[in-house]
Amino acid sequence: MATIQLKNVFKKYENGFEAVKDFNLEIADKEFIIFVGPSGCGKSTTLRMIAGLEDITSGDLLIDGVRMNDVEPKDRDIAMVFQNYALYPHMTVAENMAFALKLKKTPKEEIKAKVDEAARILNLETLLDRKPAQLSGGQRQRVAMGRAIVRNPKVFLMDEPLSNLDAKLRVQMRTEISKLHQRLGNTIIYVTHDQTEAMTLGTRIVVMKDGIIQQCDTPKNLYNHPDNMFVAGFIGSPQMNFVECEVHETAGEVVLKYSGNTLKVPADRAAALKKGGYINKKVIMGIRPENIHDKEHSLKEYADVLKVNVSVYELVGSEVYLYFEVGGANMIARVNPNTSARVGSDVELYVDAEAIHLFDRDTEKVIR
Amino acid sequence: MNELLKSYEQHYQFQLRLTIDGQSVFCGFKETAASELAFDRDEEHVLLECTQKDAKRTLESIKIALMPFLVSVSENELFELALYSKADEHELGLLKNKMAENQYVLVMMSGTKELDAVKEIFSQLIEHELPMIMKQNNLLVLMDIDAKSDWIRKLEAIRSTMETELYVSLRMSVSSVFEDLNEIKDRFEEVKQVQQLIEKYDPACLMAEPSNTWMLEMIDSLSEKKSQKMMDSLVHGDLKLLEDELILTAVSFMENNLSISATARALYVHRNTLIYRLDKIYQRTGLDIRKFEDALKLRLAMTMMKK
Repeated sequence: MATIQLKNVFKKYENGFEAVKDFNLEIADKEFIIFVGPSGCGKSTTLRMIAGLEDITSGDLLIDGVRMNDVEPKDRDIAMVFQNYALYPHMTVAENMAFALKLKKTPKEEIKAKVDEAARILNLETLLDRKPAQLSGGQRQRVAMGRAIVRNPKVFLMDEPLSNLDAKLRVQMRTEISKLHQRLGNTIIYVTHDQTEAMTLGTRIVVMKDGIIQQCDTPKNLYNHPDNMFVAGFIGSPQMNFVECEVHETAGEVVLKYSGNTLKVPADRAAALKKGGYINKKVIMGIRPENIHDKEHSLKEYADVLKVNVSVYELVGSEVYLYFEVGGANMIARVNPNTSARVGSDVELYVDAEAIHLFDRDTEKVIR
Repeated sequence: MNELLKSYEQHYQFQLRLTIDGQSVFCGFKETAASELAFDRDEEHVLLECTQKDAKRTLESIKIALMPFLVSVSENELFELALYSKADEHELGLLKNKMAENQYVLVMMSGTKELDAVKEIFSQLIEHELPMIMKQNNLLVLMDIDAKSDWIRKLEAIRSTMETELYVSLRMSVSSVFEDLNEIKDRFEEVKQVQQLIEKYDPACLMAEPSNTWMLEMIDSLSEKKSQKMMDSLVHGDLKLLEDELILTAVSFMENNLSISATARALYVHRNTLIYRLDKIYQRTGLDIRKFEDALKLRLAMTMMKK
């Protein structure tokens, strides 16, 4: 059992910098939760406060209902895996995993049992007698994980554990961490700046910016129903397109006008625009690249056509990214690789109006 | 050993320091009428005799003669002597012989009371033994480096590992790289200053080196009056009125070498959003940080704000 609660947690340094502001979150037992956000958003600071490596300026941290603010880090029943790690070069894999337990004067038999179990979970059984220099990057990473697993903690805290691996290995280790969570069943808090890692690993994702939680939800909900422009832009690759539009109402229909184009707004969002008093005002329309289709290869016909001139053509194998400009805004469409569009060509693209997101121009919050 | 030292058969007197396994077993001015020279490993003491006149020359000769035998002369003690400029050329030579590379940095670790455990883990994480001593609440290490390698990243990995193994928050401050061990004292002063500056101005930074404190050092040396005068000449408006979002944007823009694309990627914002924010910074401060000179001014002003 390991539930974690953070209640009105603030972190303010002596020089006045507020790294985390009013952080409120409940993490369920066995949950795999991700803290994600750009550099400086406060995600690592929050993790370090949970670990006890940073003091909490105000607010409460509870693990299994017990206030932990003043409990020593080693007594919180947690284990950490960080981005940068070093293995003991003169020790074998087994000794590397056992070292912290040895320092704690854990009985030898117990150490052996724990190391063997961790090695089994991590598929390191055949490597136990090897020295770090004889291991590959991925194997070394697993040993670093093993050092945390042997502690058998209630909670794992992982801060960008895969950042130093190359792209291929990162994808492989991502799958392994996911399996590890299924096997161990512990609560995991995982920090990353990589939205793909966040989307593929987490059961829930906490998106942070400037020390504030922007949204906390399942990967699917974050993608489909972002609360603000930051979350909308952060989740998804290539990121969502944003265009400034004017809202008009003609003959009972709400439309968006942008750079000579008109787009009919679906009924639910039209109602929200009316309710919010946005008629005759400017808003930001967001549309994901996969919701802009190449008319030439589209399986479905859409009412709204966008005529653009392609500035960049990128073939990425199974799909093509077309870059173009609309009213000064750079946009991307993800289209069929068989498209005839090339750099400099004029193409017609469908905009799927059902898939648009609308944001307030000043607050950047979604209009619902 | 006795055979070797029997060549000194005259009556000498001199000052000798000898350590075995890190413990000083003999230190002081010794005067005796006895002519014998003795080295007793069990008793861990040495008696040597000479005339005062020849003391210095004799001491040098004996040091060299003893070198191959004194396998456990403590590098830590030599390091400590060097820290206070008390090590002579010979002792610095001995220290140099114990290092694998010819370039060095001083590493200072602080932030925890569990420095004995930190020392133990650090010793295990490095490839070979390094001189390390405790100084007040710090662990000080003379580390040899291959300047071409990514030694800073290696140190960060060691720092991070000590945190995860020991559950302690640990700050590491590093001196600039040096080649002459005579510089140890100066580098010691430098690393102490790096640590003080980072604790004062950037407490969240856990890995500090001179390259990220030079500006702090410069600003720290200015009087309040001069600071204010400089601040007024750098920025039009009040930096305190810049929202955190704009400050983080400016920092990220500078970290990404004033590149719109790289900063937009790093912040996960659309480039138009970034441009909008840069314009807002210009409106509030009069500084268009897309220009190098204005970026430098804002960087200076932001650092001065910490003061």
